[in-house]
Amino acid sequence: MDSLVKLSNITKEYGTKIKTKALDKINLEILEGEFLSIIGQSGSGKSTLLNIMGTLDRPTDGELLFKGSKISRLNDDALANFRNNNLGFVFQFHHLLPELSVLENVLIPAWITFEKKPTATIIDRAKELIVLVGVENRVNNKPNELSGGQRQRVAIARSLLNNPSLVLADEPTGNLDSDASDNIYELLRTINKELNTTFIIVTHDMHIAAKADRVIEIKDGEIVRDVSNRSKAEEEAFKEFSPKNCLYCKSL
Amino acid sequence: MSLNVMLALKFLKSGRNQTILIILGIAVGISILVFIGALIDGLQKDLIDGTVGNTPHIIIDPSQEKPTPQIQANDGTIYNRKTINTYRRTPTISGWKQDISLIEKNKGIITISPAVIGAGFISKGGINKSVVIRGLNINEGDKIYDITRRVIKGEGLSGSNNILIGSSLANDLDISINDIVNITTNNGNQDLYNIQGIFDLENEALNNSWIVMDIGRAQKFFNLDGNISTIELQVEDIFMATSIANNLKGQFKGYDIKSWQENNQQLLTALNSQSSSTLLIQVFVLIAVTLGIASVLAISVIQKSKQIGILKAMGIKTKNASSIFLLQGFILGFLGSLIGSGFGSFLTLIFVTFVKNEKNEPLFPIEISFNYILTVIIIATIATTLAAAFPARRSAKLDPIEVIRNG
Ligand SMILES: Nc1ncnc2c1ncn2[C@@H]1O[C@H](COP(=O)(O)OP(=O)(O)O)[C@@H](O)[C@H]1O
Ligand SMILES: [Mg+2]
Repeated sequence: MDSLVKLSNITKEYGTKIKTKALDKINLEILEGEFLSIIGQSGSGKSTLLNIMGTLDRPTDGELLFKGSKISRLNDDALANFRNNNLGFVFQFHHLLPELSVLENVLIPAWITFEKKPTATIIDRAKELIVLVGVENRVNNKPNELSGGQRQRVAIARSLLNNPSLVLADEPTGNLDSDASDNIYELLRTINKELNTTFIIVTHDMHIAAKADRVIEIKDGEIVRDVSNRSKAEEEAFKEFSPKNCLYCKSL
Repeated sequence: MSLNVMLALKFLKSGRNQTILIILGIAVGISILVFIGALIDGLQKDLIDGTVGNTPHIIIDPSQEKPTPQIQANDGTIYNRKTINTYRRTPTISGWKQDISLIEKNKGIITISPAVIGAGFISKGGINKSVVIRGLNINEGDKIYDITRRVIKGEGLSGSNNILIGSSLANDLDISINDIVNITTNNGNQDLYNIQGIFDLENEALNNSWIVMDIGRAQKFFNLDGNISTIELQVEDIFMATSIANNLKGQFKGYDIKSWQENNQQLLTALNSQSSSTLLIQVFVLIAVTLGIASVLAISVIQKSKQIGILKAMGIKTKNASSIFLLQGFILGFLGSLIGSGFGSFLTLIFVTFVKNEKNEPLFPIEISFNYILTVIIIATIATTLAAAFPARRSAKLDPIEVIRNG
């Protein structure tokens, strides 16, 4: 498989006087089509890592490559364009626009690409995605008329509209009950399999993490574990992340 | 529809109450601009019309003679030549017919009226009253003074020894139509005249002193030998009077040429200061409207910072994100000033309809000028769009990571 995202020596420091190192010389390569989970304690640097990969945040040092090209030096508008064409985001707090309907929210990425009303073809695609995430009976509702799980489904549909090669999700099920979050992961997994979209998902949920192709654990801004369970049998993989073996869980 | 227009409209629609309130606020401000503008404009036009409507706009008088040079005799005594000359005539215009044909060649002049003006007194039943005798070619004179239409008793002037007199004068001397009166000029000529009509020029000073007769008769009465005293002009555009007067000054030497403006400096100063204070009020209203919009949009950009952050994360260009707020300013300003112009015109209409004088006429004519309203709408829309520049800049600077990180 080809390399999709490559981080070399990515460091992120916050503050000028008292410096906090959120990320310390991170080296990481993510392959196309991977379904990757990032776990770690709160404050360990998961979101920072995700935001840097999503070009929303700039690293203090190090290089970020996307499909082999350096993107950390692009200007704001070029980065915006890059995100619009290549990335999809699912944030923890769903982050839909409350002024727009479900369909309009899903269409935003295309509105941004073309700067005008999307074509009928794109609207059809948006509707298909809405069916795929299972909120087709809420197409014209406003986000505040939806449940938390439904909103997150809409956010997923939106993240997929422009056919991104990478979807970044930061604790997308953090606010949902376990049934709802299981469903969401099933959905993401299905999309990953069907569309070969790469997913990087920050999560708390060990069951979910265990279902990923690859799990990365972060501690104090450093990668402490990088386990690929493609190579292992399903059972063993699960054992690896069973609460007994879980570094992250022990520290809880 | 483009993305930024769509979002500007959605944002305005979502804050519907706020939107309606600010549009009303702008509308009230703009309606005041329109109303005050129309009112002051009408008032000033009325004042100017009252001042120059039935008077000459340019007066051509012969130059006053300079003081006579003084002569010092050998013994040191100073003599004025005046004391040597026995009689000094008021200067007159002799070549007036040629003058008029030259004046006619100037553009913008609509009436040329030669006139004889002289002082005298009228006697009846042992009472003398001093009067101003105006010899007019009534056809031309009427174009300026509109006397014939304002004759309230008797009829218009028909030459020979007929005269028209002012209503107050007629009252004071108990004169009625077809009375014969005795008039004496200040150079001692005396004659009897028939009262043909009594006029009311809506001006007490004139009603109390004017006697109007045919110009030919007046020339003889004052021994003018075919000369006249003055040429009075009316021009098409009263505000061109000074420049036309200046042209005439270049063409005619030995005359004293004055426009109405030169004779009404005080009125013009008053009108000017009224205009400037009106302008000041209008500017402040506009500033208030602009600040109102700026503050509402400044709040709105904070309220919408989450949305802007999401849009930026999804790749909206900075200029499109900023233009959402500029567009909101534009839409609010345009709608507000459009509605405000309607309000203002309505207010003006109410004023014209319901505020009446004792004759049940509007106090003064008010016109709602389309150009003025258009100017107000354009200026207000530009101002409110500019007012949105500050919030727009804020949204340009907004870093999506802040929103993403803090939820
Ligand atoms: N804007 C910021 N200013 C200062 N410190 C920050 C900022 N954002 C994050 N941090 C710090 O960076 C570290 C990593 O944060 P984060 O990536 O949000 O952790 P996680 O997502 O794993 O909970 C934390 O110690 C946090 O306090
Ligand atoms: Mg986090």
